[in-house]
Amino acid sequence: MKTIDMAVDLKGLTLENPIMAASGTFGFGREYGEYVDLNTLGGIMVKGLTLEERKGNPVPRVAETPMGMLNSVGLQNPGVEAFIQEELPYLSQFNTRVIANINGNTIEEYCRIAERLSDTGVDALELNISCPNVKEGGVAFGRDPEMVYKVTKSVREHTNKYLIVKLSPNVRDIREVARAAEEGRADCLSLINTLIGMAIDIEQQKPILARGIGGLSGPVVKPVALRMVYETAQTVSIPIIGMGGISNPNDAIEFLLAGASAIAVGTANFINPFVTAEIYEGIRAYLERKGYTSVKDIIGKLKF
Amino acid sequence: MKTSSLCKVLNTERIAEDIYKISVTRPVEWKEIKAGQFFHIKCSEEGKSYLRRPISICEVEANQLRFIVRKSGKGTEALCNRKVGDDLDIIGPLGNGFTPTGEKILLVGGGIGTAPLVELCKTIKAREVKVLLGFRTEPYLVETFKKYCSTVEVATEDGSFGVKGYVTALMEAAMENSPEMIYACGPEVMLKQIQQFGKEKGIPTQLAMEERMACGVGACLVCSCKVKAGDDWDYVRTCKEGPVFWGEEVIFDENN
Repeated sequence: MKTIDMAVDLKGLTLENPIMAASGTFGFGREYGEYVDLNTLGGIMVKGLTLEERKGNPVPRVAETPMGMLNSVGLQNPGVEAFIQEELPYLSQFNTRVIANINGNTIEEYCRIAERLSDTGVDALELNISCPNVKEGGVAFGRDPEMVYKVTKSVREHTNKYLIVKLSPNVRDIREVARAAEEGRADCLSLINTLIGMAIDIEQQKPILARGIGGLSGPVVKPVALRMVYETAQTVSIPIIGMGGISNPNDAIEFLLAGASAIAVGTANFINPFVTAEIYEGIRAYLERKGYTSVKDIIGKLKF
Repeated sequence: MKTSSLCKVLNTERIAEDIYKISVTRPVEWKEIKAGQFFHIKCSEEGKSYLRRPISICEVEANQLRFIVRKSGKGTEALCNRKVGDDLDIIGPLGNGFTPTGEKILLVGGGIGTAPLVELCKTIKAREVKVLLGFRTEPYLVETFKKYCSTVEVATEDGSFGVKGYVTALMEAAMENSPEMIYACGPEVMLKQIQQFGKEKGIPTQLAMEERMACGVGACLVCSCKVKAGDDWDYVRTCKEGPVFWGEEVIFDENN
C-alpha cells in the first residue's frame, strides 16, 4: 500500500484529513463516538451554540422527503458556558479539530459568544448566519451581503480564532455573500446550510413540521450544494469546506474536485453512522487508484 | 465500538389489517435487549424511504427477534414488503427500556403500542400481571399475551371484539387487584389519560413514548419529549433518555 497524504491545509488550520462532521448532525461527538473513532475525523463541527441555553422548537421537528429530510430543531443547545464546561473537555481528548458553531440574534451576541470561546481549546469558530429555524438572526443575517460583511467583520474584531463563515443557500447569488464574508476577513467559508422547505400532511391538511417550515438536507440537496461550492471556489481565494448531501466517497470527491479543501458529512450519519470512516477509505482508495500521493492534488482540479 | 448488524428476515406475517409480524435472526453481539428498547431499521435498500425507522422490540428469543410493524408510510411499507432471506441493516438496541418493579402490575397497550408490552409481559417477574389491550377494530397479539399472562382483557372502539370502547375504560375495574405499577404504550391521548389516572390513584406509571426520529442515537435532537425539570420544563431525547419515561415526568401537549 502506497503512503497517501490525507492532510489538508485550510490556510491557518490544518486537518489530518479532509473529512469533518457537519454541525447539528453530530451533537458534541459523544453519541457517534460509540460508532466511529473520533480520532479518525479531520474535525467536528459541534451543535450550534448560543449565549444562553435554547430549548428549540416544538415537535414534530422532522419530516422525511424523497432522498432527504426537513428539520426544524431550532438550535436546541445547552448554551456556550455549558458547552465549555461539560462538552469541550470530552471533545478535546481526541486528535481532531473542534469547531464551535456559533449563533446569535444580534451582531453583539455573535461577538460575545466568539469572545467567550476565544480563550478556550476550540480550534475554530463557524459563524452560523444561515440557520433557517429561528425567528431572529440566523438566515436573516446570511441573506444580505451587507449584513454578512458586517457580522463577519465584527466577529473578526472580537476573536483571534480561525473564523469560518457558514453560508446559506437561500440567497439570490451565493457569490455575493461569499465575497462579502471574504471582505469581512473570514478565514474560510463552509457551505451549504439547509435549503428552506416544507412538507404537508394531506389528511390533516397541516404542515408536518410544527413550525411549518424547516431546513432540507440529504442527498436531495447535493447537486445544488456542489454547484454553489463550485461557484464560490471560482469567486473567493479563501478555502472552502463543502457540504450538502455528501453520503459516500464519490460525493466527497466531487466536492473536492469542485474546489472544496475539506468536506463535512451531515445527514448521512443518521442513515449510516460509519459513513465518515467509509468516506475516508473511499477517498484513499480513489487517490491510490488514480496515482496521487496527496489528497491536495485533487482539490479544485475539475477539468472542463 | 458499536456496529450495525445485518439480520436475515426469517418470516413476515400479516396479523391484522396493515399490521405485520417480522421475525429476523438475532446477531450474537446483541446480548442484552430490554423490553421497551427499540431498533433503528433501514427499511429499503432501493431508496423507497430515506431515514431509518425506529421499531420497538416485541419479542426476544435466543436466536431471533420479532417486531410488529404497522404499515403507515413509505418506510414501514417497504419494511413490511421485505422478503424472507433479505438482510435488514439494523442499529440497536437503543434507548431505555421499562424498569421492572412491583409484585402486582398492570400493562395497558393501545394499537401498535401493544407490541413492546409482549416482551415486558414475558420477562417481568411480578406475582400478578394483568394486561389491558385496546384496538380500533381488529385485535392482534391477544393470543401471544395469553401465553404469558392469565388475565388479558380487550376493548375495541367499534365493539367487534371484547368490550366496546377505549382501553382506558377497563382501568377502573382493574383497580380491584390494587396494582403497584402501570406500564403503558399507545397513542398519546391514551398515555395522557393513564398518566392522569396513575396520578389520581397514586400508582406510578411508565410510559413508552413515540416521536418522529432521524438519527435514533441522540445526536440530531429532532425527537424531543417535553419533561418536567424542577419548576421548569425541558426537552429531552425520546431516543436516548426515552422512549420509556416515568409518567410523572412527561408533559403532554394540552391540545391532545
